[in-house]
Amino acid sequence: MLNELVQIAQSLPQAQGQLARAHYRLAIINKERADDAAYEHHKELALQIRAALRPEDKQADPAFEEALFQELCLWLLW
Amino acid sequence: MYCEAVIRMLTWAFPEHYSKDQGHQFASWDRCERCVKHALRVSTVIHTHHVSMDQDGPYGDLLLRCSWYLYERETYGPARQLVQRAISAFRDMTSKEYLNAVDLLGLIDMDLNQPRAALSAIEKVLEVRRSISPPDDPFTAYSLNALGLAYTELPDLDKAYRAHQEAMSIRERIGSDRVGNSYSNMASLLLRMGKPDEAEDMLKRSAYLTDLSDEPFLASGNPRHSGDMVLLSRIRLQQGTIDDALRLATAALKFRQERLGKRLKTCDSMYDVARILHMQGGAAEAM
Repeated sequence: MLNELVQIAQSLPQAQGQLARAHYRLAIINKERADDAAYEHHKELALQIRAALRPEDKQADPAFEEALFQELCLWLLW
Repeated sequence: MYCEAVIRMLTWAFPEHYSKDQGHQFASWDRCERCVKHALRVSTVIHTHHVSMDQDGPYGDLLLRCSWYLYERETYGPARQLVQRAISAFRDMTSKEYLNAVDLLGLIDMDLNQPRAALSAIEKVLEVRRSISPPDDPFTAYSLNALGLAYTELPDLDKAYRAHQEAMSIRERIGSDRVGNSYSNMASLLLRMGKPDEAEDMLKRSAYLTDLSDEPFLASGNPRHSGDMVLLSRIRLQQGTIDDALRLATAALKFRQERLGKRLKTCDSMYDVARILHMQGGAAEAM
């Protein structure tokens, strides 16, 4: 599901927040599966996209939590 | 002369949103889809060659109608470009067409997760409508509802509540068929306030959702109603009934995949389903 979401979101300029959030969830799942390389890969992508979307946010080392990526997406997309 | 004739023919294909407050015009989508590329071409030619068009004439009307369709189909880039051209094409900044164009710009910015920009457009229109319309004007209610949405996203939840409450009161007083839209949006706000039971009660006030079964969501065919299904899924999640949350999120996803295709709202529903699957221990399915 998330990998398919990444494929779609990569093709939509307005879906960068969705893309970052999907990478966040993939990172967390891979961490639970002890796949450290995949965890680091998705974490880096999620943070890179977030930094591009929120250049004004200069937090040095923000907690890697869902809220960080949820705010890149609407509360409810009607 | 030929240009104006083409504009008038194309305008016929696209429903307007400025005479009556109404939701998605999905019944017209097939017709709009056949004409949209021609409308975009006309706009490109006029823009590129600086063709002089009458202010407040049919060209602005076509741009506005076409941009509503593009917005409904989540084609945000072209929708935003066209609605900005529409705004420039209207001289009378109190006309229903001009105000409707600024409304739409706000809605587009909202979907693009720019609630501050949306708020600016919405407040501008609301101020004009309050100054020229009677107190219970349906479009004033529309603006207040949009204001509530923007504040919900910011989030400034107290201001969102006051705006939704005022919009809902107007719509109830005048017997508007858009009151269900207010109930849905207020329910979303209540959920964001951490009040899932109150959100459920509010959502049930919509006549078509009284028993909160799946059928009315799906039977309507209205893409906007998939938002209600997403909302109910998230209410169930906060209430702790995770199986029901997954069932509803999955149904909303299926609806959006079939009706909207690979667009932003489908992405949002995919994440909902993946998140719930992950919460249930289904990491492999979530991936």
